[in-house]
Amino acid sequence: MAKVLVVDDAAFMRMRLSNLLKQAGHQVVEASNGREALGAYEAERPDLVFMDITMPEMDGLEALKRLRALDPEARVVMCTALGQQSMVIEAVKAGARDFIVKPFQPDRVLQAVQKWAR
Amino acid sequence: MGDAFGFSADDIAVFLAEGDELLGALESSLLALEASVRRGAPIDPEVVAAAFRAAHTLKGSSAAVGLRAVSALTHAVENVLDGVRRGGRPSPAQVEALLGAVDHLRAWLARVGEAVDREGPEVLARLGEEDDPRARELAGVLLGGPGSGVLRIRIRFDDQCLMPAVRAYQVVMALEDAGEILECDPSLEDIEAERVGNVLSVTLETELSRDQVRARLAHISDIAEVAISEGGADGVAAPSAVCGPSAAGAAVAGAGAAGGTPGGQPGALTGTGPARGGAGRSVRVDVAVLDELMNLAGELVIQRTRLARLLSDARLADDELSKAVEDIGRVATQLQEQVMKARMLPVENLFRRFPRMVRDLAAAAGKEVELVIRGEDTELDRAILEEIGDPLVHILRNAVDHGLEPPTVREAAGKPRTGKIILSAQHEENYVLISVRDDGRGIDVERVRQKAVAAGLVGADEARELPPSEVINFIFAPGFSTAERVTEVSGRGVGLDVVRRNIQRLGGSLEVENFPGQGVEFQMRLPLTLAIIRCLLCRWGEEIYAVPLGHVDEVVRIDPERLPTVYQKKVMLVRGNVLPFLPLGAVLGVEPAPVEFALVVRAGGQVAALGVSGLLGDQEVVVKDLGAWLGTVRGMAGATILGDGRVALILDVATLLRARQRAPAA
Repeated sequence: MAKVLVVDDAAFMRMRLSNLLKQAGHQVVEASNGREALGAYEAERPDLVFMDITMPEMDGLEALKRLRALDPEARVVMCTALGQQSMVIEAVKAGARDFIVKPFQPDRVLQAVQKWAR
Repeated sequence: MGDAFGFSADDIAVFLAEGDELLGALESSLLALEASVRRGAPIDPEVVAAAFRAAHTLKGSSAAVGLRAVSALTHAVENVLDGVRRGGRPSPAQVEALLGAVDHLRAWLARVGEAVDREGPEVLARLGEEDDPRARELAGVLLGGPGSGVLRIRIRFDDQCLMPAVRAYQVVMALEDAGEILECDPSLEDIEAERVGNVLSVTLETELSRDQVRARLAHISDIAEVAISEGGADGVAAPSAVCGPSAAGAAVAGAGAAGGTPGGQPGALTGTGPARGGAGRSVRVDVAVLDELMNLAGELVIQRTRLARLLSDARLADDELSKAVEDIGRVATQLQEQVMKARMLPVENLFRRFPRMVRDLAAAAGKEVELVIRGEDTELDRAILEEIGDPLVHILRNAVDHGLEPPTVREAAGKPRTGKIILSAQHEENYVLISVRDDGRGIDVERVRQKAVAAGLVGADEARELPPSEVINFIFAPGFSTAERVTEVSGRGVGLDVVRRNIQRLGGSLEVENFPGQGVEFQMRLPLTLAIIRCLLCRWGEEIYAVPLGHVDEVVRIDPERLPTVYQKKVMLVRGNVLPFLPLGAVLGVEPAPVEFALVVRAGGQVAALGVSGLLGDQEVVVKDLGAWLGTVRGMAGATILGDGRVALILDVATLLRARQRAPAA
């Protein structure tokens, strides 16, 4: 059982991921952009963060960097669409542990939690 | 006559025999070193010193005979050990390379031996100049000092991987952490520009072992295959097992198999061994010479007895003469004893091949095994030692392959992950007892019972009645195997029946004790020597036969007329047991004769009462082959010449009882 922070500007995607995680017995906190994510992270100190890449106000990459500055041990898995490979490489360079590709496969999502959540 | 270097074939033989011993000593030390490195425990300086000495000596002698590749490789080994001697710690990659070097050197010596046998010592000049890429590769890993294992890593990503460039990037990041990347294909630039296929090759300089590198990549998803081989940019590498268990298992499969059958070469056990009486106080003696000495000593004893008998028959009351004969007798006996001693070798000679073999077997089977050896200085006649090698290999393989459970199963059962096999040797009266005890799952009695019925060895009803101790004896039946899969390692269950029969042929026995869920113990009992055995001399009619005393439980005076019968067959009641009564003449198929005594004999798990006409006492007899004229006579273990010059046949009790079992109507 892990506490997971889900960050995505699209409510529908957030909901899907949330439901999936909750059904598997995990606790979920949501944020709809990078700025909210930082606040939520500080407040909740989740075991794992699923971070979407394309978001308004602060995108996933920027949020990741700030998050890592805030907590160097932060576990972040990027959520990406096809065609964003170079951004994912940047994210990995910046400290993201792994990535999952949309549309999500439930087992991949849950495997990521198994592997990376603290 | 020697070759250009001045070496004769005999000199080469000495070099090879010594080289073999040195490699054995080196290997034992390296295994101990490896265990320390693996456990992170302090390294014993004695062990390192022993290894260093062995390598140093071999370097010198191989250089002297002109084998450059051997000398160079040994030099690299010596270098690493020197570093360790001074306080360094070998990397896992180097330890692997050290053991690989031992295998390679052994293979070299074997080749040299064969080549010299075929073509004479002159062939050394050619062999000495040969190029050896594998030796260079190993030396490369060894010589660079700690931290210079060069590995070639080839990674294939899943076909379904959606972002191979990211994965490749993650791999590169992980490997950069593990050492220095010498080469990367596709290059990092290409990766960042997303110009990747689904294969990535990296040449990495690292202190880590192959397994450790693999572990560093384990967290990256979408990887289908990781292949790691040793070797530098010139690509002369020995490919390792792909994603398998410890790669060492695969790499030494060839050498491991060879090492597992000891005594394969003629005269493999030459010499009395340097372990005795301090180094430098022993000589090498050809086995053939020892055998002849033994024979002559035996003859001397026989003739001495004859002389004594002649003397007493002639009733010469001369004190001087009697004393002289007595003295000869004493000296002859002492001579015989000394020759027997010279033939004895500590079992360590045989056992020392096993730790390496068990290690390789365990790696191949994916199990964790610790081999404990006790009583390795127990001595056995060398002829027997040579014969029990194969049986012990078979039993050990069985233990690793079938007896011991995989680590996860053991843990679930509350046992330690590492299975233990205890191989021990000890003297027991006039026998040597060698036991192999494992702490595995034991023999599944019910499964054996079913298998025996299915194989037609026993009827279903009868099988149900048998107690567990009798059921487990079915594992010695021909063609019996309860292995679910016939693995390459253990063979096709052709083993245990042949194993037991071979041991019985030596005058020994093989029994098994089962501890369900806790393991199995194989007990091998062997006579101290094959050449001379203590026998009970008995008579059938006028013929004299010798029965090895080891097989005789007791002797009873009987009157055959008064024996009870069961199903019309005569039996004897001895200490509450009903034994079949077998007149010796009937068993041998010769003329009948009166029976006045019964010997309770035991062999191969069977007991019977053997009827004989008379007893002539017990004595030590020298076993003689029946020779080419008579060949191998069934039921006879040889013959001996008695003090009066008569020949007595020595009975092979095990065979006789077994034959009797199959044809009871005779």
